[in-house]
Amino acid sequence: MRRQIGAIFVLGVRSALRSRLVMALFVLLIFITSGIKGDGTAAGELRMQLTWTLGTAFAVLSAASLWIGCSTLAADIETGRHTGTAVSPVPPAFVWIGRWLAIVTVNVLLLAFVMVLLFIKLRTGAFTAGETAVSRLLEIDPQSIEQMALNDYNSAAEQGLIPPGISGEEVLELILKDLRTSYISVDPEVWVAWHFMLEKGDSLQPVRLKFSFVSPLGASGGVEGYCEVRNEEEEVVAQLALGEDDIGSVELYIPAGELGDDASAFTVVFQNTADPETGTGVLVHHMESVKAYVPSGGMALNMLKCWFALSAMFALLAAIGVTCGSMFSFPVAAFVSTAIVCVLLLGQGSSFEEGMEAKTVHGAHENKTPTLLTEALNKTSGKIYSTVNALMEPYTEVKALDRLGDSIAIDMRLVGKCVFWTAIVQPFIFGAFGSYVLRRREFVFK
Amino acid sequence: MEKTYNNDAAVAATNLTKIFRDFWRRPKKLAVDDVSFSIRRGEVFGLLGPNGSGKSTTIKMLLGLLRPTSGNVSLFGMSPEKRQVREKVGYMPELSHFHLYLTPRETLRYYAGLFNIPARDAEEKIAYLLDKTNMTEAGDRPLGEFSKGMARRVGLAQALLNDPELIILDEPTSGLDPIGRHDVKELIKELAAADKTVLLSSHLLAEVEDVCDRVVILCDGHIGAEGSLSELLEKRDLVRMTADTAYEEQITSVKHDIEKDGGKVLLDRPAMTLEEYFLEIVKQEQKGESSK
Repeated sequence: MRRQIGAIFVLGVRSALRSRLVMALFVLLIFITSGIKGDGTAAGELRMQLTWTLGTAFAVLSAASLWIGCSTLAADIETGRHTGTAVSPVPPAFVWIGRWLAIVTVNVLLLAFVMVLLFIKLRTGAFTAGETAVSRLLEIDPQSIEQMALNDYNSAAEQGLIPPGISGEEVLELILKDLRTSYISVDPEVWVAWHFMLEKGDSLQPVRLKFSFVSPLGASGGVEGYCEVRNEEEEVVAQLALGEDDIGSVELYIPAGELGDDASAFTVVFQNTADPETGTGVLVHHMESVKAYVPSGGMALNMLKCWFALSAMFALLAAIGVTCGSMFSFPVAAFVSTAIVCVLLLGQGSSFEEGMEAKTVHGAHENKTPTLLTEALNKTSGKIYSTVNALMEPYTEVKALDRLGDSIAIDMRLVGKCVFWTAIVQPFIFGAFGSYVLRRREFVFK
Repeated sequence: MEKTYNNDAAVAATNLTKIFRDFWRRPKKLAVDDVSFSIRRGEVFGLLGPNGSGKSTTIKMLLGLLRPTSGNVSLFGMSPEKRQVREKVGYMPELSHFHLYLTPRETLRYYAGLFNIPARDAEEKIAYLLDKTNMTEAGDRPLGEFSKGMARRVGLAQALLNDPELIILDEPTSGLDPIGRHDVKELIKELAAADKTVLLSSHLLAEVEDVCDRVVILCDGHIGAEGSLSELLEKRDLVRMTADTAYEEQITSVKHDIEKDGGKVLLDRPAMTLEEYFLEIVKQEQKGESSK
C-alpha cells in the first residue's frame, strides 16, 4: 500500500515540479510577496503584508489546487497515460490518494515558501516587538448576553408589550438574536455593560481594550461619556473619559495584575453622559463594540497556525478537483469544480440567507402571498445554504487571515477542528466518491 | 518437437459483445460482436484483423478497461478487475503514452512501485529489462527525446516488469525498425519457451506467422477464422519439396514423373525474405565495425 501510494505521489509531485504552471506560480508568488507596500504606517504595512499578500497568495494557490487537481487525472485519462496505472493491481482509492496528496503537498509547500519569505521580510523590516506582538481575543461571557435578553424580556412583559400568539421562548430567542446581531442605542444617562471571561493566568497579563462606537454624528463626531473597567469586586481599575475628539474608537490599557491575581472575569461599562435634553444616543454592538486582548505567543506561531488552516482549505479544493478530474475531461472538470467552489463561497456567512429572509418578510409585508413553488424553492435553497454553511463552518470559524492581519492569536482548538474536518473528513468523502468513479468508469483512448 | 500446453485457460472470452453508445445511450457502433475464444496457458496467441476490426476493443475488455455490453471475460478463471489477476498480467498498449519528462528508468521505477516490487529487486529488474530492450544507454534520458520505436521498447520493458504470466502485446512492433522487430519476435519466443502466455495483436501477418501457435482473425467485430497456424495455412492439395542440391537430370526426371500422372509442377529457387537479408547485412556491418 505504502509503496503504491508512494509511487503515485512521487509521480504527482514530479509532474507538478516539472510543469510550467507550477514554475509560473513560483515566480508569481515571489512577485506578490516582494511587490506589496504598506500605507506608510507600521501597522498598515504589517496588515497589508499579512492579509493582502497572504490573501492573494492563498487565492492563487487555491485556484491552482483546484485546477491542477482537475487536470492531473483528467489529462492522464484522456491521453491514455493512465492506462498502465489502470491495469496495474493498484486500487483506485490509492490512485486518488496519491494524486491528492501530491497536489496538496506542492501547494502547501508553495504557501510555506510565501510565508517564510513574508516572515523574513517582516523580521528584517523596521517593526518593533510591540507591533508584531500577538494578542488573544477574550470571550464575552455568553451568560451575560442571555441575562440581558432575559431582563429585556421581563421588562417588555411587565409593560405588556409581548403580543399574544407568540410563545415566551420565541420572543426570548428573537431578543437574543437581536442582541447578537444588531446595534443598540445608548441614550443619554444610560449605561451598558460587557462581561468578559478570563482564562487561567490571563489576570497576570496586561489587557488591551478597544471600544468602538457610532457617534450621533456618524464617523465625523465624538461622544460625551466615559468607558471604565471593573474587576470582579466591582472596583474600577481603569477609566477613560470620551469627548469630542474621540471618533469611532478608543483604547484602554489595564496594567498586569490590576484585575487581581486570580480574577476570572471583568466588566467594561460605557456610560453616555450627554445632556438628556439636547444629547442623542450612541450606537454600540453587544458582540463587536468591545474587544479585549491579552498577549499570546508570537507572530511565527500565529503564522504557523494560519498555514495549517489555509492548507486545510487546499486539501479540500484539491479533493474536489481530483474527484471532478476522475469523472470528466479537463474542461468539464474545471467548470464543475469551479461551480462547486462558487456555491461554497456563496453559501458562506449568513448574508445570503438573511437577504432571502428579509425578502420573504418584505414580501409578506406587501401582502404578496408566496406561491407553493417559491415557498418550496426558498425552503430548498435555505436548506442548501444552511448545509453549505455547516460544511464550511470548521474552516470559516478560524478566520485565519483576518486574525493574522489583526495580530490576534488564532485559536489552536479551532485550527485542529478545521484540519480534521476540512483536510481529512471532507476530502475522505470526496475521495470515496472519486475512487468509486475510477473503479466503475471505462477508459476509452486511442 | 510438439509443445504441450496446460489445459487451464489463461484467457476465456465468451460471447463477448461491445456496443459503444452516444451521450443519450443510443447505440453508435457495434465494435465487437459475439466473440468467443480461449487461450491456453503457455500459448502464443495471435489476434489478427484489419484496422477497426475490434482487436484493441477486445484487448481492453480482457484487461477490464472497457466493460462488455454482454458476454463474459475471465483471466485465470477470475474477473480481469481482480487485483490477483492484475498482478499476473503485463500489457503493452498500441501507443506507448508515458510522462515525457521521466526517463525510462524513472518510468519503470514508477511501475515497479505500482506492482509493489521492493526497491532493490526493482533496480535489478529495471537494469535487466533495459538491457534486454537495448535501452541501457538511453535509460537516463527523458522520454520526450525518444523516437516512437524507442518509446515502444520502454513500453515492452514496462509490460514485462512484474514478470507476468500473461503478456498482452497490442501491435508490439509498430514503429520499430527491422532489428527491433526481430528482437521483439525473439523475445516473444523466449517468453513462450518460459511457459508464459502471450496474446499478440497485430495486422502485420508475417510477424504473427513467425511466433504464434494459434490465431483468431477478427473482421468487423466478429470472428472470421480461428485455429492453429498449420491448420489455417496448410494448402492440402499442394506439396513442396526443398533440396540442398539437385542435378538438372534429377529435376527433369521428377517433373516428368509427376506430369505423366496429370500433376502440375512449379519450379523455383527459395529466396530470403527482405527482413532476413536486411538483418544479415546489418550483422555483417556490425561484425566489421567491431573487428576494426
